[in-house]
Order: sequence, then C-alpha cells, then structure tokens
Amino acid sequence: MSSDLREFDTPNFKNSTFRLDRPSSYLLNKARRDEINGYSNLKKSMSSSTVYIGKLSFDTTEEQLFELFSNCGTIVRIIMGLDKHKLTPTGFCFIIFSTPSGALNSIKYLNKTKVNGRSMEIDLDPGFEEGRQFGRGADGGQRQPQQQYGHRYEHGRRDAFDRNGRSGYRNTRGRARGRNTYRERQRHQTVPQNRENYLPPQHQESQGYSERQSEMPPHLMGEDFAPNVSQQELPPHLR
Amino acid sequence: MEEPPHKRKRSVSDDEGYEPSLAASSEPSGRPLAEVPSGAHQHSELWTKRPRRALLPREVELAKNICAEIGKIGEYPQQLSLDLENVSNSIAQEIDSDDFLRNSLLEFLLALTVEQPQKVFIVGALVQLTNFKNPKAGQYILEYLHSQVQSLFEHIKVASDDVLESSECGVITRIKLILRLVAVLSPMMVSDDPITKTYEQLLELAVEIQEKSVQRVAVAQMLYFNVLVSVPYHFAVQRDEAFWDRILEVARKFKLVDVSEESQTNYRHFKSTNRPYEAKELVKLILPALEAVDKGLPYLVDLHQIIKSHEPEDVERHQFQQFNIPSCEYWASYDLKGNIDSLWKYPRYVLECFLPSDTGFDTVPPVDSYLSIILRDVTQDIVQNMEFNRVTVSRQILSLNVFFNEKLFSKPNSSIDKLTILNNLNSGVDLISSLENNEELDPDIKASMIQSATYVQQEFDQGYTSTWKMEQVVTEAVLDLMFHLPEAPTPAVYYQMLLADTCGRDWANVRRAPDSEDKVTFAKVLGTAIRFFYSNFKYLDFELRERFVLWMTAQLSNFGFDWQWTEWVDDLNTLDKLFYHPTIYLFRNIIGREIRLSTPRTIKATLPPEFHRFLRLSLWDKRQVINFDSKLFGTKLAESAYEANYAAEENIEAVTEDAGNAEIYHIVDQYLFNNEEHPYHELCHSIYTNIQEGESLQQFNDLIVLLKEQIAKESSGHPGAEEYLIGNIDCYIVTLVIQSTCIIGSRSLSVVESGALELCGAKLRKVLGLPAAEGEHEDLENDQFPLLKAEEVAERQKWLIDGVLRLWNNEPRIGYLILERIKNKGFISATQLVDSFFANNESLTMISQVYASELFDRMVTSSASEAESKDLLQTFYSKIIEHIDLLIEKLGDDREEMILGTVETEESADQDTELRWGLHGCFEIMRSKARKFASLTNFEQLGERIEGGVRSEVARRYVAAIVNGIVTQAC
Repeated sequence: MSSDLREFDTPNFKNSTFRLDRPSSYLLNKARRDEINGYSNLKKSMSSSTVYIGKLSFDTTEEQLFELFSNCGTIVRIIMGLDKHKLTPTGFCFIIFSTPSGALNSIKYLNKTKVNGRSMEIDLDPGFEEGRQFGRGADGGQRQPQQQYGHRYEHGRRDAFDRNGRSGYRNTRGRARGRNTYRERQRHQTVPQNRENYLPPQHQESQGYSERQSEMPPHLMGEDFAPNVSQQELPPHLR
Repeated sequence: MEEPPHKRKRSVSDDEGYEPSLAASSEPSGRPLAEVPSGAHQHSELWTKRPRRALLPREVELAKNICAEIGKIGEYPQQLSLDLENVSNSIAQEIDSDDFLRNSLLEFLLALTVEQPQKVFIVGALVQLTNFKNPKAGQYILEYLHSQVQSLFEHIKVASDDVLESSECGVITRIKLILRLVAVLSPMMVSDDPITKTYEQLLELAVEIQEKSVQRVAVAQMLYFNVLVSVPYHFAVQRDEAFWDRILEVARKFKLVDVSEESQTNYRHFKSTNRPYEAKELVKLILPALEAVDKGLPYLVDLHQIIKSHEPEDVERHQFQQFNIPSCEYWASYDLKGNIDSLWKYPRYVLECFLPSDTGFDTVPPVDSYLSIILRDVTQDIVQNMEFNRVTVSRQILSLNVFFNEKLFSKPNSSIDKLTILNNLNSGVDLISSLENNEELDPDIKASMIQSATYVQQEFDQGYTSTWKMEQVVTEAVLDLMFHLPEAPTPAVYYQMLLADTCGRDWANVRRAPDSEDKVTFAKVLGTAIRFFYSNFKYLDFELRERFVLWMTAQLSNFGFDWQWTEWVDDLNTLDKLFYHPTIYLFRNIIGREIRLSTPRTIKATLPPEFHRFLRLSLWDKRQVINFDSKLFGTKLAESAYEANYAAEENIEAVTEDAGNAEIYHIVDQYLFNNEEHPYHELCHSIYTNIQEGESLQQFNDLIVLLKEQIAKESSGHPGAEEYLIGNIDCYIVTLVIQSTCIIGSRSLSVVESGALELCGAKLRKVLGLPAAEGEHEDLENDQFPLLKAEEVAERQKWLIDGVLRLWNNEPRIGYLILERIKNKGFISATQLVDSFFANNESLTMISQVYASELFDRMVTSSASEAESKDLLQTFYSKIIEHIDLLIEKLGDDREEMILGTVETEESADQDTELRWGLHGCFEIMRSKARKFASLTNFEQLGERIEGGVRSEVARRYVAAIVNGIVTQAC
C-alpha cells in the first residue's frame, strides 16, 4: 500500500535540527502513495534544479520572481502556472535553475518570504514536464493516478471506474468539490466558468486542481514559521 | 522534532511542530479530517483505521525522542537542572542497549556541538552527568569525539577537491568546535594533557608556518585565532593558570603579518580617511583581548555550578589519547575550504555598525574585548553551520542571552531610552529623585516618567545594569558575514531573509507577550543599522553598496515597503542635481528595486512626493528619446508622442492592479510604427502581422520590398516633409522587426524567450545580415537581405539594442533582461551589451544601476568559455579606463585632491562634484570587479592598458595601485 521512501523516511541525526532543503510532507505523502516511482521521484526532486512555488498572487510577474530568485542561482527558465482555458496566471510557478544548488538555496532561503505582499510557499520538484504549467501534478492536474488511492476515497465504488482504472468525469467533479478550499470556491464564484462551451472531460478533471489544494505541508500551515504579519499589524518598523 | 513525551509549557519563542514530521503522513492534530472527501463519511471508520503513519522501530523512535530532548536543553534555564537529570538518565540507560541508538546519539551530539556552539557547556554538563551514571557512556562519547577530531586531522593531509555541502564550515572550524567540547569534557579524563598539548602544538604550528613565510599565511592566522579564542573554554573548567600563561607565551611569538596597504583597502568595509571607525583586523584583536580578559570569565556559563549537585564522590575518569597532528608541511599547503574557513583567505576586518557615537554610551561590548570576539565567533558559527534552517537560526540567535551570562546584557528588546536611563544609573545619577524634584514637568508626564524610571530602577537592582544589547551583537555578526569581502560565504539572500525572519519572529513574540514593558523590536535594531550605513554610504565599498541595496529592499519588501523616507528629504534636496553621488545612487537603486519587486503603484504610496522622481526608471531622458524617435518618425511625431506618453506615465494610479509589465510601462504606446500619424503605419502593421503569425520568410521579404518602394515613392512625393523621409532605412527595418518581436513577447520574459524569439528568429537574422540557422530556409526570391560583413552586422546589432532599450525605456531593467535572452540566442554579443552600459557619457549605466552590474556578473560567470569571460572583462576594463580619462578631461583638473579626495562638502552640488563622484564610481567599480573576477583577469594586459590609457599621472598611479593590491593577494 505504501512505498518505501528509505532515507527520506529515516530520521536524520546528522544535523541538530531538521533541514529545510528536503521534500515537504506533501511530496513525501505523494511519493508514499506511488509504489512505482515514489522513491525515485523524491530522489529526483533533490537533484532536478527545479522548484515549485505556490501561493503567489495572480498578478505576480516573471520579472518579479526573477529579481528575487536570481539571488539563489542562475535561472534557466521560469514557468508560470496558467489557467488551462484563459491562459492567465493562477498563482503558482516552476523555476528551473542551472544547478541543483539554486533550487536548494531557494527553498532554504526564500520559502515563506514575501513577494507582492504574500508569503510564497516553495517546494522541491522532481522536474518540469510540458503540461504541468496547468497544475502541479504530473499530468498538469492535481490528481494522483486513480488506482493508487481509489480504495481510499472511492471505496466500494470501483464500478464507477472505467477500464483504465480512471474515474469518469462525474466522480472527479464530486471529489474536486470536496477538496476545494474556501479560497478556491470563492475564486470560482467571482470568475465563473463558461459552462456553455463543451469541454472534454479530461479538461474538466483538472478544473479543481489547477492550483495546489489542501495538501499543503502541515509545517507550513501554522504561525510557526516566521509568522505572517498582516498589513494592519505591521511592526512599528524601523521607526 | 516531534512533540516530546512529557509536555512542557510552551514558551513564546517556542516553535515546535514546524518541522514536517519524519514519518510523513501524520497530520497535525487539529485537522485530521481535512482530506476526507465529503462523500466518504460513511466510510470514516475505515478512514480512521488507516494507520496514520508508519511505526518506527523502537530504537529509532527512542533515539528521535532523546535527541529532540537533547536539542532543547538549556533553552529554558529554569528547568535546566531537571532536564539535565532526565536526559542524562535516558542516555545512560539506553546508550548500551543498541548500536543504532548509540550511533545516532553520538552523531547528534556532534551535530549539536558543531551547529549550536553556544550550547557547548550545556552539552558538556549533560555528558558529564551521563558519565556519573554510566561511565561507559562517557567512554563512548570521548572515544567518538577523539576519532572524529583525528579523522579531521587526517583530512588535512589529503589534498582533496571534494565539493563541500553549503553548510560545511570547513575542517579547521570543525576541529575548533569539537575540541572546544573536548576541552569542556576534560574533567572526565584522567589527565587533560592531551588537550593542552593539542592546543600548544597547534599554536606552535601556526607560529612555525607563519615564521617560514614573509607573507600573510591564512592557515596560520586561522589556527592562531582558533586556538586562542577557544582557550578560555578550557580555562573555565580547569582554571589552569600555568597552561594559560604558556599559551599566551607561545602566542606572543606569532608574527602578525600585514598585507600591503594597497591590498588592505580591498578588504575594508569603509574606504577613505573619514571612515566612521578605524578598521580592525580580527586576528590582531584576540591576543590583547585575552591578556586583558577577566579571568573569572564571567561571560561563560559556570559548568561546575551546574553539575556540582549531581556529582558523586567517586567519578570514574577515562584515558584520552593524544592526537596525531599533521606536521607543518601539510598545514602550510592546505587550501582553506568551507563557508567559515574560507573567510580567512584574505585579511578579515571586523564590521562595526553600532558605534557609541550615536548614543553616547556603548550598546555593544567593545569590539576588542574577548566577549565581543567570542559572541561574534559563536553567532557566526551558528549562522553558517545551520544555514540549512534559517528558522532555527533565528530562534537561536534571539535567545543567545540564555547561553551566556544574561546579566552582562540588558533585557531583550530594551529601548535606547531605557539604556540611557541605565547608563545614568551606572554613573550614579538618582533619576527618580531628580524627577520628583523637577517642578517644570507636567504632573501626568512626570508620573509616567517616574513609573518607567522605577521600573528601570528595579531591573537595575536585580543586576541588569548593562547597556549592551544582544540584538545588536547578533545583528552586527550577521551583517559582518553579509558584508564580508571579497565575497559573502553564502548567497547574501540568506542573511537578508534571516534578518527579515528574525524581525518577524521577534515581532510575533512581542505581540504574544503584551504585558512586557520592553516593546522595542528587532526591527528597530535593523533600522539603526540601516541608518548607520546610510550616513556612511559614501565611504562604503562599492560592492557593499550593491549588497546594501539588496538587503534593504529585501527587508522592506517583507514588511510592506514601510520606511521613514521623510527623514532623508533634506539630503535629497541638497543633492538633487547630482546623479553619481552615492546617496542618490542609493535612492535610485532602492526605489528601483522596490518597484521591481512589486509595482510602481505600490511603491508610490510609500514615498513622500520629493522622492516620486525616482519612480521613473528610464535610462534615456527626453532629449535622447525624441532624438531617437525623430530619426525614424520625424520630429513632429516624436515630440507629440513623447508629451502624450509622458502624461500617461505620470498617472501611475490609473494602472489597474492586475496589469502586466507591458501595461504598467505603456509598452505599446512606445511602439510608434503603429501610430496613426506615421505615414507607413499600415504597411508596418502588415509586417508586424507577418511576424506575429509566423508567415513565411518570402512574404516577409516581399513586404519589405513593398515598404522600401513606398518609402521611396512617398518621400519623393512629399519633398521637404520630414515625416515621410526615412534617413536610414536599414535602421528603420531592424528597429521595426526587433520592436515588433518585443511587442509580441511583451507579456513576459518566457514569452519573449521561447515564443517571440523562436518565432522571429529567422527574420531577425535576415535583417541583421547574419547567416541562417541550421534548418532555416534561406533561398528567397528578390532577397533584400544580403549577408553582411562583421562590422556592418555589429552596427545593426547596436540598432537592435537601442530598439529594445527605447521600447522598454520606462523599465530598462526588463529591457536588459530581454537583451540578455537575445544575447543567449546569439543575436548579439555580451561585449555589445557591456558597451551599451557605457553608451551614455552623462550617465554611465554601469556605475549607476545595480541591475547593470548584476547582469555583467551573470554574463561573466555564465559565459560559454573562460576565454569569453576574459574578453568580457577586458572590454569592461577598457571602457572604464576610457571613461576615467574622459571624466578627468571634463574636470579639467587632475590635482590629487580633486581626483582622489572624497567629496565632503556637498553643498556645492555643481558639475565638478558630479564629475568627481563619477570618477570615484569608475575607480571603485573597477576595484570591485577586478577583486571579484581576479582569477579571470589578465592583469598584465590590464596593466598595459592602464599605462597607455590613463593620461593623468595621479589617476594612473591610483588605478595601478588598486590593481596591484588585488594582484598580490590573488597570486
């Protein structure tokens, strides 16, 4: 049921505190569910020179990210995450550096720091592939391949799967809704999808997943990191 | 680490739980059902039965828990004794039970020693307590430490080219830190001779190595410093006066060799004779500091006091073997590596930024005192060795007081006002009674003043008499690393974010403890530091100016860009006319980078009106823009378009919040080929469409034929009408094609790079006269684009660069980023970009814009071959020399005081002042780049160029001295 993540699952005694330049528990969870490639994907994420950045404001530009991240290493490419239909930014991106140290530096030094007034969430990534600009997951969607976790979520509903082991369009919508965060729902309200257009099911699948959802690594959720100070509560900064 | 089995009260600075749990899938307890899909509630039983995480084997679980406990000991001083007792019990019991457990514990203890050296006495106490309970455990630990140190010594003997991990401090620093623990553990040994002998031997080695050389030997200085800085740790536990005297005796034999005066300047933070303080070399401070030290060592935790109550009557002591230390030759040829060791490669000067001159009393320990040295040393070791976790670092440096004698410092977050009162109390002023006797004060104010004075008096009576602020000590230590010359040991962004994080953490702590009287946050300490650098900015090293700009903007961008700009308005008014002056450089670059990190709209709201002019980022002024446009579109259109655009650009608030860069900077409005006033705009639009739609090269060629015909026809049809006449059709076409490409790619950098430039590549090559790329079709009918000679191509490439810079004149840094991509695709060369940094004689981009300098560095470090980098540098040096000469010529006065003196009287913001600062910028950027790229610089060639290129004798000698200073150290 779960795969062996070897060194990633072993406590580290070589350092007196944990290392920030390691896969987040989001990646670990994902890898654990993936018996075939889980471990190798983690290995890859350590050496791919690529980082995933989430929680950006929609108006964050490539040039802003360049200004910030070029301090961590030589940037080869910035890939902005886009809405599949409107091709507008959706608040995440990938940055590919020329060496792995660039990626490790950015997760060590810049995770949770602010760009455009919002804290970024940076994670390692096994490597960019075409299509993923529409979603963090391997195929540009957030979902995992169904056969790996179908029994967790869809227990007893295997009849709903087609022969490929992939669920049909209706199921995923239901699931997608279940996993939507508040913010995401809000966004859907303000930006209604054009439902008159016929959209093929496989496109719909990624609808709810064009952005990373609730699987945010737990350590990044609380106030425990350098705590967020909201605009009103700014320190009497340097006054 | 995981929540410990027994819970303790959470402290305000406690941040357990921010780590991703090791056995991953455990959810934070608050939200276990977050992932349950709504449709699966009926299966929730099944859901909850899913094992939340893989169970770790018992010994792993145990090791984890014990290590987590060890890591926290000492952070809560009130329960130190209890913690030591509990944890040493666990270790004593378990260390024998399992190999894995033992190895993990040993590894962890070592990691703690190296990464958190402030805890060395606590770790020492823990190990000794464990030893009382289980002597075998003590034995294991000593043996382990011995083997670790010995293997580090072996490392000195093998010349290896291992690439160290970024958090590796280097062999010598590791030896220093582990030996420190060994010294602290010496009461566990039958005899401490191996320790004292090791220190003596290392120090004698240092003396010997330095003795053999007339030049400064980095390894020797580092050994000398490391031994001396650690000796008090041994003295604190052993009180061995004889050894102390012996060590100092040997140390006095050490020859402190200076590098030449020319070289020293390269490693000092502040230049000029008016610098804020006399630069002190770290290595020279340690011996006098030890000679003057209070041998009671009140700074350090009293280890004996801690373990006294636990000590049994009969302690089992262990044998400790002497180390086998490599001989002199090995050390002499050892190449310093690692992020702390390499700090010693060049003379290491101490940065001071909290000088007593600001407050009238010391807020940090005197820089030449042992306390100051050891605090800096420990802080820097923490910062570098835990570079992989800035969260823990910021937590540790905020609570550093706890691990030293707390009463040597004022309470955390004390304000300068409070420190002033303390200072008065120290000098015997009875503040309360003098307040009470003061008749002039308003009774309410008086009451509140008396209240705070009473409060301070209470603290004073408790023993908090010091005016030293630990926050300033750690900030200074971090800034010392960030501003280390020639380069910071880790990317500067680490220190920037570490300080910003610490600010945020500190502020959160203050908010969580609302009752506390001390509300001055860490941010204020940074504010003081920023102001210090601001007021001494013109003496600061050129490269450090760049680093300062990056730091300040990073800091502000994490706190809403909030800064008291108004206090600098007066300076701005005085210097307003100047361009090269360091203060103006600072304003320009800080505001420019703030905009780059956000938007002009956001930044405008944070600035007083006086500073609004810096919101304009353009490189070309009105005259230059109109000049450029007139050549292509005639003066009339050029002028009217400029006026219309200028008004639109002024109205920053009109830009919507979600606008992209193209809209913010009105890119399309700069594209005059499409302007309806332009007679050829329809044909230009067809060409634009041709490029955008990726239509064939033949069609493109035919459109160009058409354009040329139309221009010929119309200009002869309208004799004298300027707008019909195109002076240089080739330039017109190159500009049209490149600006069209930029418009097509204006959405973002990657659209330019992988979209527009791919799409337009063949056409660009055609108009530049370059040969077609592989796989491109090149046989055209009636081909308008012959292959051109190199110099003709170069001219067109220059037009191309100008075309991009003109289009993006409102945000030239994006223009340059686009040009960098164009260069990467081979359409232009890096040297041409360097040329463009010097294109404008009145305002040299190279010395006035941080982004130009950054782009230059990127091009040098990432060019395809070493030869290319060298070429690029040579181009840069020639250009700088050329401009030094030009500036002196304009100055018309090459007396030494004009050329070299720092300009002190800025009231006369005249042309001469401007030129002198320009000259200063050229000298200093030359120093900065030659120092940074010493290994890529052909100094011989550079020397010749200086000899032949700089006519003024004074300047020639000065430039040659800069270069000499670098050469001698680089060799």
